[in-house]
Amino acid sequence: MFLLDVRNLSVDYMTDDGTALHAVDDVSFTLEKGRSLGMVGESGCGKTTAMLGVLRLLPAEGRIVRGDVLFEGTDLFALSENEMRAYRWKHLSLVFQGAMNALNPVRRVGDQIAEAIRLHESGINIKARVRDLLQLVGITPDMARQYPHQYSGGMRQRAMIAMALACSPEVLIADEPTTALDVMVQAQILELLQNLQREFGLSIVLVTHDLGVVAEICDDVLVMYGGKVAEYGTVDVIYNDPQHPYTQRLLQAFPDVDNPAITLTSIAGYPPPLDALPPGCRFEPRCTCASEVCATKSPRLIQIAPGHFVACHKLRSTPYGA
Amino acid sequence: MEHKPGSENIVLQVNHLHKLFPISRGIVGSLARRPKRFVHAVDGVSFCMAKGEILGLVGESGSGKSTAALTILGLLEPTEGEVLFNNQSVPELVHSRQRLQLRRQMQIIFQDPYEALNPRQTVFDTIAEPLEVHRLAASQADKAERVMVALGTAGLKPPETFLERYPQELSGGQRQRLVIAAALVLNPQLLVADEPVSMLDVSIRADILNLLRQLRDEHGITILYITHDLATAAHFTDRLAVMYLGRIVEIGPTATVLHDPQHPYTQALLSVIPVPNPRKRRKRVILKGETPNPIDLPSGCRFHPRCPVVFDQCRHVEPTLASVSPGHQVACLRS
Repeated sequence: MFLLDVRNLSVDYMTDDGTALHAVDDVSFTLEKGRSLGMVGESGCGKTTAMLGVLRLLPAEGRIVRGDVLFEGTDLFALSENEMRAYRWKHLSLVFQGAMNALNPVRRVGDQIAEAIRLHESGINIKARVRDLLQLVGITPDMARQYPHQYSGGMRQRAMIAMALACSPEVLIADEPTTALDVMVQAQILELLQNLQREFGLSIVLVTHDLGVVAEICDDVLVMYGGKVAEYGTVDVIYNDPQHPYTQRLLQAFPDVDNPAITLTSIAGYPPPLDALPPGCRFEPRCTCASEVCATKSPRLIQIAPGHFVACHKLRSTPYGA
Repeated sequence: MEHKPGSENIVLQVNHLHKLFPISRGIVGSLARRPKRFVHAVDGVSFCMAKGEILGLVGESGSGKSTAALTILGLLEPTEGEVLFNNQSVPELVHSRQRLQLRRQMQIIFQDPYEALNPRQTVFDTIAEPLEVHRLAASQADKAERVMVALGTAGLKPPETFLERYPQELSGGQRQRLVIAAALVLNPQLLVADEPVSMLDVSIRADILNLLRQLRDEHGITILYITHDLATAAHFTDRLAVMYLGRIVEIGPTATVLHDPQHPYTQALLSVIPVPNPRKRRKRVILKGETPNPIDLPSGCRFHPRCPVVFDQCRHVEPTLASVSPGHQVACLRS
């Protein structure tokens, strides 16, 4: 049994005039204990929406139209709101995008972490727990008494991670945790996440547009495009044997400091807007190897090798086929 | 790549540039006659740029790279040191009648193409305005012609389909192209690009950088590329200057700096850049803490509190840039 098993998740956003925009369409992935999954894609490809859907934290316009999310076999979508609240923080925790700017500026950082503990745990020494958590993320416990403005950006991000770990969750979902941080501070935060993974068997879902970060710390990669899964596999396969044209082009657009002589090439065009998704493959308008069928029929996600899934018409499933 | 000052080829020369910002002491502080304190944003920067060169000025936030750029452009008054553009002092030109001409020859592209454009101006007006300010168009027809050429060069094709559009109808990449077109229409010699792609999606960054390089190749424009992103700088620049706390700690041809970094800060910075290849996960040299504030600078070498190979002398002696190989200079007591 997987720790987290997301099956065929689809999320719509309802507009004022009642149309449904398909933000996430048929996304499936699994996560095992102590492993890390990178969700990559351009802005607007549905990465964040998918994770908010998993946690049932969608904004009011969001609707889960299909799919199951199983956490250790328990169907999260079958839980009542109160039961779900008990799962969040204790089992699945989220560091929001831009979270470091979400700390309350007029309350001490330690008090804000304490509040999270108080709401979810009982019968523990909260003060000691706050000190432990701060230490865990590399902040001197004495700094619990300071206010967010006295923290640097990197420290605020550490404090947010401490808060997310308040109730010792098994899964940490981090949405762009290092975007807007300097590269050295980014390295510090990534090292922290890796240590947490190694020492406590924490499972991590890293939502990011940064292919470099994913290559550094993730075990598996889910490439999303236009709300759908384009390719899914281990980090080695995705980077060294990508099969989906989008994955290939994305890697060609990404700078590699080790190979500065390579000319980078952008992907012409733009990701499809949600209110005008192409009828066939969502990548078809930008794909250089599209054929007729791509414009009319959406490709199914097929398994082309054990654990390697691709949604592209030019590939046929192998004997492992799903 | 050693450039001799005064040579015909030199477009920009920066000598011992300092830019300090005073910190308000408050009423109590002034009455108590507490000493004035300063943010040492740029603290002794020297370099020069040859015509048609792309120099990357790389550093983390707070390293002073943007302040250096604004001072070079004459948008900030230097506290000390000189900036020579075609052998003429920029701070003096700014106060002279040649100011407009200087502005025409030096252009800047900012990070955020969403903020840099007037939402109520059409694409045509956005590009025509600089022409009007600088009285460069001989006639309406000439103006239209120049606008079209600038749009085409910036890759907004076909140009006529863009003229009447507003910035909000353009994608992020198209907006940045529009910003570039508005700078290009003046035929500048020097273009300062301050994080021109960091707000754009990864998939379209390469296009903008390739466009800038094309401007250099085809029009000989000199480009100062300011960024925190060593990876894009690696692909796009001829030379790299690495800044730390207001000073250049290493400068040299890009390939040399990348393959043979000499300063411990450059080495650490290079080691932590995520590489998009899981088979090449490297030993990262992760520096502790963050860049200290530029108010109370560390004694000796300003990098010594975070340096992994610090030795006693570093605490007292401030290193200066010294050549380690042709065109490659490093400010470190160990080299």
